[in-house]
Amino acid sequence: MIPLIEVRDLHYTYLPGTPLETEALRGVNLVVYPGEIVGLIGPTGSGKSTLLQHLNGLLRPQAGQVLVAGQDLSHPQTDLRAVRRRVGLLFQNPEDQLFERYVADDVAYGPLQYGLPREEVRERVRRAMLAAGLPPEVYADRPTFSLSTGEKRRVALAGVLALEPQVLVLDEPLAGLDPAGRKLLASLLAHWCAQEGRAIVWASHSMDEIARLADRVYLLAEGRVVREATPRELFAEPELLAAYGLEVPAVTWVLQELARAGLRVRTDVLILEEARETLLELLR
Amino acid sequence: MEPLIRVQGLHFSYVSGAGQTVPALRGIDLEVAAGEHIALIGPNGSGKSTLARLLNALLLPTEGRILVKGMDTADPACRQAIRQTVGLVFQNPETQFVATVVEEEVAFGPENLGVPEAELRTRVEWALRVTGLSELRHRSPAHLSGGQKQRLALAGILAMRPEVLILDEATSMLDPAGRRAVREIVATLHAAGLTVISITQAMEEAAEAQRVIVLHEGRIALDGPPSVVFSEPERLYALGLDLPPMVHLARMLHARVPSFPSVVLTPPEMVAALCEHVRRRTP
Repeated sequence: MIPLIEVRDLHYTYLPGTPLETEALRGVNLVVYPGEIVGLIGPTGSGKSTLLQHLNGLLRPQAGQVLVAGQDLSHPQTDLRAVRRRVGLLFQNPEDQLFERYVADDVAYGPLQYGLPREEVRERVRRAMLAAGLPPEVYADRPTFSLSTGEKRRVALAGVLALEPQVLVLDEPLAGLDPAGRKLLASLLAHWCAQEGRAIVWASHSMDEIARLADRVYLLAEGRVVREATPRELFAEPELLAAYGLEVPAVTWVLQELARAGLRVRTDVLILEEARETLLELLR
Repeated sequence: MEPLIRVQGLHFSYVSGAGQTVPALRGIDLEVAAGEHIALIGPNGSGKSTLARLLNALLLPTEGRILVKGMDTADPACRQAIRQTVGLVFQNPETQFVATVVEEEVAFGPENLGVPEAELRTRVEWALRVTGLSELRHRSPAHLSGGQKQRLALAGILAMRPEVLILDEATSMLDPAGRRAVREIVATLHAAGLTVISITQAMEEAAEAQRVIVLHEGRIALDGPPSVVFSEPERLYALGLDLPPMVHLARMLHARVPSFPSVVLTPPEMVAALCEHVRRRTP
């Protein structure tokens, strides 16, 4: 399978040649294949945000390569605007950046900037709003200020989806939302990703989110990939995670504690439903 | 005994950009006793942050009143004393840093209050030590990590010697180590007598408080110990909330093994309950 994104030996240094020089990325390799949700975890300062900004060409590689659908972003002739349509980036708290008065206008902003015909824009806005759980007949003419935080965040998502990207790059997409809002947005994103040829890169500090949603995880620390694994493999290594200030999901921790106390339970459990099975065997 | 905070018939409305009046709080009555650890939860837009800002007089009631140690937040003469008594830490503290050096940032608040030099030094030393920032005192706040910035914001508030600390989703953007560090500092301070009100969307964090208050559409929907509030899943779901994961798990197990407790709040309690259950069964 051809990767949607391929990062090869990527290096990036902020303020090179000054006393404030900081090496943010020191040789990162990463691939994203169609159909997968790739989790990105790591302590603060590990280089996650710097890496995310490379994936849609907001930053150009200083050394190494970033390939998006085979196009090399370090190549001066590569059209970064075209790349940004292919890879949509949703920052932390994107709802703070809504600026149009009405929902549909905000969602239409991106496609209009790309000079798409009005009719096409209208259709894209409609599809994007539906994918973001915002039925146009209910939301199109709502003033953005009147929406809840969760709704505003989905408007921001719709704005990115209206560019019809193949890859979504998300930085803490669920942070700050209430439980119902988190559940809704997580299921909308998983549904979006399930359509052919799409993928998501999902950066998060919530190990529960990663355990539940990611197909593969990259653990980033000090600008390097320390481990690439499935969540099940990764969370079977609590010592590795602890060394980087991270942790296993709460439910995994419970089972690993029981095993340390000498009880016979599965320790590679990631979600509550799995824990239930192995614990019922223990209690029976 | 007079409660530390008394909220009576509180209503608050915002005026929106379009000039409309939007009610945020619609009749809150509440008492907070000294030394409590309260989790304030509720869906986005339920009024949690508004209530926090009213408690330290950043906002004033549209109707009703708030007394902090008997001082009315609407009385301009009390405002400074109230802001000193009730400290507020937000989600993104760096937007409020004013100094270029960590220890000056910590000293900024008390210095403005006219705290004498010797006392000021003691306070700054203490706040830096409690938050683990002593080593970073000469750094620039701009060059701290997210977790360190949040601890700096906390140190700045602590140097004011507040009696109540309100954390408004103060750990939601931190990595697990940063979140743990802030929670441990707060737990230590609470053990030493500080009253803590923590606003959070993390049900597992609310499960660790002594009292959980649920806001919904500007009113108090539930108020009680976590073991009671989290024993009503249907009610919580209807409010857009959820059970803490350990309560979920306990209920799943209890449904099949009735002798297993239906409410277990935290992961360590879950481990203890499971070990206990197995021990009792094996002769």
